[in-house]
Amino acid sequence: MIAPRREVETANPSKRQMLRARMAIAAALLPIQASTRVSRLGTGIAWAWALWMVLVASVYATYFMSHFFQRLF
Amino acid sequence: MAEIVANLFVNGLSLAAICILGCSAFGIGRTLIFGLRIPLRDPLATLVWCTSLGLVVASLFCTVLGLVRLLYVPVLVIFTISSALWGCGEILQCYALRRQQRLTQDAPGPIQVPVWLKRILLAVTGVVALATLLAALAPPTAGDALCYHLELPKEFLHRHALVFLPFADNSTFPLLAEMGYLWGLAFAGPVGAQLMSWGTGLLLMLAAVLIARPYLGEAWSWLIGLCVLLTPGVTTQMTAPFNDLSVALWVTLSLVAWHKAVVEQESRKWLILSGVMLGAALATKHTALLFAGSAGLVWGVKWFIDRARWRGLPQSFAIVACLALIVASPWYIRSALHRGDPLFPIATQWFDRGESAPPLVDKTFLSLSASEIFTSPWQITMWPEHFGGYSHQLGPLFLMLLPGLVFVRRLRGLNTQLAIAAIYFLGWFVLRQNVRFLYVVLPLLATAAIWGVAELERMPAIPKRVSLGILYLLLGLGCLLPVYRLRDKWRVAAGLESRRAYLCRVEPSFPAANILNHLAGRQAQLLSEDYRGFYFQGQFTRESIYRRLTHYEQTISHARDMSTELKKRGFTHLLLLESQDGVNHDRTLSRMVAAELATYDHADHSPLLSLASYSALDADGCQRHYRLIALR
Repeated sequence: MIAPRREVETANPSKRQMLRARMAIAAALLPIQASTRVSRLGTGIAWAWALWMVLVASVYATYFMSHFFQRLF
Repeated sequence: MAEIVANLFVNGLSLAAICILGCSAFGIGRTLIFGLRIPLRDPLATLVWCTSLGLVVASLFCTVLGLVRLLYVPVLVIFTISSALWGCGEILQCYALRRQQRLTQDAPGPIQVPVWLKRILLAVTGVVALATLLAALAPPTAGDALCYHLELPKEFLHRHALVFLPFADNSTFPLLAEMGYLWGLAFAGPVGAQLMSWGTGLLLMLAAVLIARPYLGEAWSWLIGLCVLLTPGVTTQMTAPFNDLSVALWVTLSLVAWHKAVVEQESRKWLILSGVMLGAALATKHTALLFAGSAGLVWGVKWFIDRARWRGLPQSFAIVACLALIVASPWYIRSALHRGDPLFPIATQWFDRGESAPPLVDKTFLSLSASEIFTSPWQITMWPEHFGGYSHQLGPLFLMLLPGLVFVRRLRGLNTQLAIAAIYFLGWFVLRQNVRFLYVVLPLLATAAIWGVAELERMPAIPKRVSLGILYLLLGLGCLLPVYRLRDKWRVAAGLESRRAYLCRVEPSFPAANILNHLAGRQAQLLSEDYRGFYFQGQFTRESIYRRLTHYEQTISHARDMSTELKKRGFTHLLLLESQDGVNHDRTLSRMVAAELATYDHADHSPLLSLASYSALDADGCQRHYRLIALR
């Protein structure tokens, strides 16, 4: 889990905004509560499944478009 | 303007005809279900069961008429109109009963469907249904439909009987779906028969909703129905009269009824419907045998593991099997009588009538190995052209979602469905790898896939959004595909192009059929190198089959004797076909014609008169050259 730097140590407002953005992304990617092995595994599986779907959709779209343009021309 | 109005009027007549056929089927089905005292609790179940059962019974009625040589158009029209009027009465009665009854709502499923998603589903269903309906208004041009799904009903109707056509291999197949098309053909012409295929697709979607409802509840089961409807192969067949959707529908309904009787313990009378529907599937395509075997094996194992719980299963099996046998057996008996093989042509090598059977071609693109089986879902999804054609593919949805089932929560009852689908898939893999034959397990796979979608709701935010985003994108593309396919046909639906003009533009065999029908009508006896015979009014014989069964070319000793020999055999015309884009095609007849013409100084002195010669672009993108010749 990303340990955020204390905001008081960051005087620069844009750097504070960057920090908050990184914390938000980390919160979405990983549970903020105490990470257990099970929840990390579940999150990893969720990501693996999502990436599998992206892979299948991308490859299928490539074949589909090549077939489509082959028929068209 | 007058032509547009005339075209729109013809389209309107076709739509009215399909409504009448639907009404008729509903009336017949509801009367039988009411007579059997089978409870149907909601409008969806009433619509699906009554219409589907009515369609089966009407097809069986046409079969009986065919067997007793009473297949006359007036008989079928009187039957249709009287049953449609009866059906109107049944619909009004249903409506009145519904108003009296208090509506009961199903218990909500385990995970709720968002309201905005329900609206999107409704919109997508509407777009797909409308796009396929408009496409189905154009005359049929699918190769298999013109070869036998419509050609055989046309021939039976012309001869007023279910005759044996020795030079048509398909004429002894189980043909219940084709008898349904015969009904549509007699009442509403080829477009009417095609619209029946459209209706069957919608019924399949609704049957998928019924099969999924006990597992996922009302709302999610509609998503399953939509998943089935958006399968590219299903939308293709909704605009082309094949029989795969019919088999899938009968098999799905058989499972629904089985579930009602055996699992939900509603009423043993559901076993009657299960048996009739399974019989209808067996009477439509041989693949239903594989499905029946798969389902029987799975339920047999369940009974073996827990006999106390499934005590009445053997009796249920027996009832369903007996009824299925009664409904389907006439077709297998007919095949045994004419071909000596009840499962012609798949079991001919065991019945010692090999000479009459078409040569067995290995139609398994993938070999039987563990790696091929493991990678087959990927190959079937990405390269469907190797498994029966690009238009009949299942799409990527199942490949995306089904692997995730390993990680989601177990849904009670889903394992049984998946086990049936898995065993059927193995049988499909070994016997005949055509993706159309997988439509039978489509509702089962869709149930499992949508359970995966439901479980996606439990994922962390970003992977969930990524997954659902991809799925909704696919949903949208799946909706656009039928709209894209409308590009060739929308002018017919809008009345801007007549059906005849459409056929002249799109169907390669139509110009030859047009000329021959004008010259000879029903008197023509055509020997054709092409396989599409529907639009020819006369007797149509495929040259490759005729040559395989008669070896006529071996009786021709001299090149000049060919036309004399064919005239002696009763042929009046020849249709030669040449593919100019390198597609392999048996041109024995073309070579014999060329050889005979070469023996004459001038073509006018030969008995072969060329009536027409033209080129046409076929649906596969190949240029084909046709030549119509008269034997004078």
